[in-house]
Amino acid sequence: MIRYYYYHILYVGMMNIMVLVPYVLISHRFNGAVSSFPLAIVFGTVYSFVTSAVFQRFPGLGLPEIYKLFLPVWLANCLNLIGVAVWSTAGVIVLFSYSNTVGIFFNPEASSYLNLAIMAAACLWAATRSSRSVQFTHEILLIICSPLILWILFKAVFSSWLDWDAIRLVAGEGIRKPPSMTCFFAATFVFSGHMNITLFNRLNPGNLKFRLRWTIPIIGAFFLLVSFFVPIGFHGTQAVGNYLYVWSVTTDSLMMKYGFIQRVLYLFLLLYTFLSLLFVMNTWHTGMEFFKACFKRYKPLTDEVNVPAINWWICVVLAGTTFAYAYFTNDMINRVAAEVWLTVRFFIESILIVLLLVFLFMKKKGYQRRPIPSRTQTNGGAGP
Amino acid sequence: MIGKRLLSVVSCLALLVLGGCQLKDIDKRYFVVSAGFDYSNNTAKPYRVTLRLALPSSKVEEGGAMSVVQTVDAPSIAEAVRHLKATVDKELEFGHCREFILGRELVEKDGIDTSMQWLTRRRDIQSVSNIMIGEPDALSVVSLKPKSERYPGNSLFLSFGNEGTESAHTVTTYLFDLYRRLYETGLDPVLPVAGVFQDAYKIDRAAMLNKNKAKLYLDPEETLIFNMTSFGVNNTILVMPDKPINVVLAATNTKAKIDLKGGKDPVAVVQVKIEGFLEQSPPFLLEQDWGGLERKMGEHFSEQAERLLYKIRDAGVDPYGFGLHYLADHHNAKGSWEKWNRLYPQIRFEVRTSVSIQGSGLIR
Amino acid sequence: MLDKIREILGDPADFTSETMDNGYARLSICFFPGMCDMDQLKDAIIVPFTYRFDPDEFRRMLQSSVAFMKDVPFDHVVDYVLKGYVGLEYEGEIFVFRAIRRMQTAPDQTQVEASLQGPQSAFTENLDLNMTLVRNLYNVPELSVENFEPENMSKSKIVLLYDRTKRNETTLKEVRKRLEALDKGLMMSAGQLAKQLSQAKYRLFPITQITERPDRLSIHLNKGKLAVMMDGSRFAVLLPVHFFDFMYAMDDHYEPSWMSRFLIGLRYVSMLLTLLLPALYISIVSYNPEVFRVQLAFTIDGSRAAVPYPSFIEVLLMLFMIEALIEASLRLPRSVGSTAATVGGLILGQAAQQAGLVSSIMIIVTSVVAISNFVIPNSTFSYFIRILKYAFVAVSIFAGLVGVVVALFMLVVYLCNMRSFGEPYLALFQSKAGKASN
Repeated sequence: MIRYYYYHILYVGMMNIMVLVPYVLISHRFNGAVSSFPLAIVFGTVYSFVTSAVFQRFPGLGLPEIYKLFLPVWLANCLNLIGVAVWSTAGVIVLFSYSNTVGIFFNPEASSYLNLAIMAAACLWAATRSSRSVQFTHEILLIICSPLILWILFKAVFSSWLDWDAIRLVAGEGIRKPPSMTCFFAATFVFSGHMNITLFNRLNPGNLKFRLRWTIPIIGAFFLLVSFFVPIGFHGTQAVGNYLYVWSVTTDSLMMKYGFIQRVLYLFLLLYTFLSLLFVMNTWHTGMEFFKACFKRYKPLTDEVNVPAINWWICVVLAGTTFAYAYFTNDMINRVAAEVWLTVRFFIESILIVLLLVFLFMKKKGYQRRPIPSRTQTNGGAGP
Repeated sequence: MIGKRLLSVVSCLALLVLGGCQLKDIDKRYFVVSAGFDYSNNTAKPYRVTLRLALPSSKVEEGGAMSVVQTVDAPSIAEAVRHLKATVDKELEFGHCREFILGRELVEKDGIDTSMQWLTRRRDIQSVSNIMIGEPDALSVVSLKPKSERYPGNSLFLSFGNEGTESAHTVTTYLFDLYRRLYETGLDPVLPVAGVFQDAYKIDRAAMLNKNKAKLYLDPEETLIFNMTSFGVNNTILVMPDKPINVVLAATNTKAKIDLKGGKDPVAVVQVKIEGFLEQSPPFLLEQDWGGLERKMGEHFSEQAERLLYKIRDAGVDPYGFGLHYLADHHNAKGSWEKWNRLYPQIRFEVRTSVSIQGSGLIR
Repeated sequence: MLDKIREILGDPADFTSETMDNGYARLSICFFPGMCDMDQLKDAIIVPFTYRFDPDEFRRMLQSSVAFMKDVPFDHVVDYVLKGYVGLEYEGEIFVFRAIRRMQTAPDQTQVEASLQGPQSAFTENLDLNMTLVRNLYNVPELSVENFEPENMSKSKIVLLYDRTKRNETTLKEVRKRLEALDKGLMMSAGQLAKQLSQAKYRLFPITQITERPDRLSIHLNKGKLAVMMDGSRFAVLLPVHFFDFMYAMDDHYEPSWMSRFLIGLRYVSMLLTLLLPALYISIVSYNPEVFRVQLAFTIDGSRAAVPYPSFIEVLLMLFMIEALIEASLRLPRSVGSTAATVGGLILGQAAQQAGLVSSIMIIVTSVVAISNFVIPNSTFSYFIRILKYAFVAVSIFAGLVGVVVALFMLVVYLCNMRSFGEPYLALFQSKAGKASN
């Protein structure tokens, strides 16, 4: 069961490329991006360790339930709503930017709302499913997509057109500059996969022991370095700053001579369609569950067969927000919004880590407000 | 229950009907297989764009390729392409266009900047397209229809990369590489020069550019040496003049690496490793002095390479990337780029070639 | 008694009701001669009544013998007689004797699920024989057998099988509940039974599996799952099933493991091909021809040069023809069967391409789709896949390649969301049933 934790870490690392993190990092490549990497790796690893250790002590409980154990209800609901805002906006931003990117390369003459509509409809339906179904979907799609994506990344790293001089230049120069805060906030996103345990801990059984946690810094460092240095190697130190869709053009510079599809870009975009839909499904599902946890009448269910109608209403609101966002914004504003979101997310994450440590301390001393509830009931016995 | 089902069906249908407006069958599109940009001497419409459009044919055989060439003049390249769309009856599809030819005059008078802007901005042009200079102009290169082609544009496409012939005289420049070299500090662009010769393409020369205009044109032997020392080629020959006949080594493998040795007064070192078999030699030459022969061939090659390097240096361009290497070694510290600009015109070159002869073929 | 029974049955012509008198006592007997085994009847009733006519002896036989059921309420006697039992009245007491004619005594040959090296016997339409076959293969005392007698018009006996030590309690309870609540109409085949057990009319994938092989049923029971068998149907219903069970042919257990892994991989590839290939053709030909390599694009372009209508009409036309061909070949009489298939396949395709009605690439696509469809071992599942590909075609017409990818995502979500009697339908690395985590 711990494999689900690592799936989240893996796929957020891969999703890193599409959430505009490389764009932020590359815009600051001469202003302290590289020196923020070691800091980001350290912070990210520490955060992952803390979340996994704390949630291990509260088996079967999601974050809203833990809030209710230790905090007064009004405070717990406020924190829940903050969580809803952060998670849902992530999904909205990624959905918009990705449907934009795909529209540009695949259907440039169609209305930009068409791609958004299709993807929003799919994510809407997928996010209303039960948590256990979402987890299964994660597993299947990741197992199908990751080998291909990793193959593309390795192909890029070992390509003969990758210029190691350019990489050495940026690395050597960057490491001697003071770290930039924006880049630090953006780079910690690679490790943010651990935040998914705040919801999916509801499905974890009692005697979970996290092993192999030493692989987390390795995975995170790999994705961080690859997503930053490979475009620099392909496009040089100066020209890389001119590109808007950095990774799309980078994969376009690879060639599969003997394959059916010659432009690696198309394969890359199709694989990332799966990943983006997965990401948005995940974030909207989490946001929806946190919102439902604010109200007493929705018990946390993980395996219900017929989802309550409130699921649909919340997700329709989220899809509507995406359309409104698409109407009022353009590409530039979207990039700024992504940067702002990455920064805010880091602060919320840090506050959460501190809170979790406080909760752990309180549990040890026994300062609980309410008794720990019985394992969240599942309804999965009777199938349709 | 019925209401829910009806709602979901209706919403699915509504969603689907939104789309469908981009449906255009493949036979309503013209595939552009190569494009050429020239400089017309008309100040109102300085850009002459030539496109070669493929006509579909159901028989695939040698010589079955049919195509049509269209030319138009316009104030800019984008306008020219739109203009051309009006003269043909189908949609122009650039997705399979991987050959772009820039006329020699355009490169000398106007520079490559405008063309590059258009090429990199468009989303449907592949980043691995081949760019070349057309001699005497792009129109003649694009208009050529070799009789041996199976698909229009195939012959030009196979000349580059490693698909068809692996000629060592052909320098391959991809679009993303060219764009990189246009802006990089310490790395300058190189373009192959394509000409027409007796109903076939002759791509055996290279042009070195600074950031905008062409500075130096190399002849075929120099292009060969440049290719071997910069990119590394397979399947070329190394000739050492000797009596009674030249000793020719069929070099199956060539690898090259650049380096800057020495701190304050660096020497630019190019290390070349050549492996091969003797293709032509006086009998019993190899076994008399294997090591010596290798050394002699290596020195001969080093001499030729060093002459080329000085020639390139004196033209003021740096296609090998010595500048970038220098900056990488010194971590782009403040003032190192200016220092390099002072160092480069006086720099000394050293080519260290190590030839490894595998054998002398089937006879001694 | 006889008059009342005859009245209830409406005095059918195939009904025998006699009163026999051997000088010492009277015996009223009624039965359907077509449904009864006359030898058993003769040996058990007629002969003793005729030769051992002592009333005491005969009464002793009736009371003590296991084969005669007594104390049967009168309205049930008619039900029994309709099932093929013999109704007797002797000295005022009503007995019922079981003498059902057995139409099969040997197991059938496998017709739908063939196997190269495994056993070739299949279930028959007789429930007792089927139970024998199952017990022969799954010969342990933990095998539980539960009877269900539904109150519908066919009144066929239904039997629920499971292994006591391995089964999952929640699933068992749910299945029992559904078996008690069966529909009141005709129940003629296991397929109908499966449909009623599934209880959802618009599902896209089956959650039960139908098999005719006893060895498949035994493997299924061994994994801790349940099986339902019905009298009169030569198929057993297996539940709950997972997505991966449908890609399993029985040969995978009998052949070496590398071979079976290769074949399973081949089946998954075929499933993807048959699902996606027409949709991919439409999206690439009409939306994004630059996706494929240039030589392929030119070939497709050339072969479509003569076709007068857009690609999706071509696809729908060819798909309709191949579906019609497949359906027709099911129903053609044996003598005409192969000729018609040859005509349809070869000549129609060739002639259509030469007349310029379809492109040659389309013919290849259609034949690959048709052949890949039949690589899937389970016929119910392959029907579902056949229908699903039209959904993909519809999506690709309106939304191109992106639409196909999004539809594939939705399909995966749908499959992961399905539960087959409480167990997840599409989930990897699941623990065995019976060790449910709750």
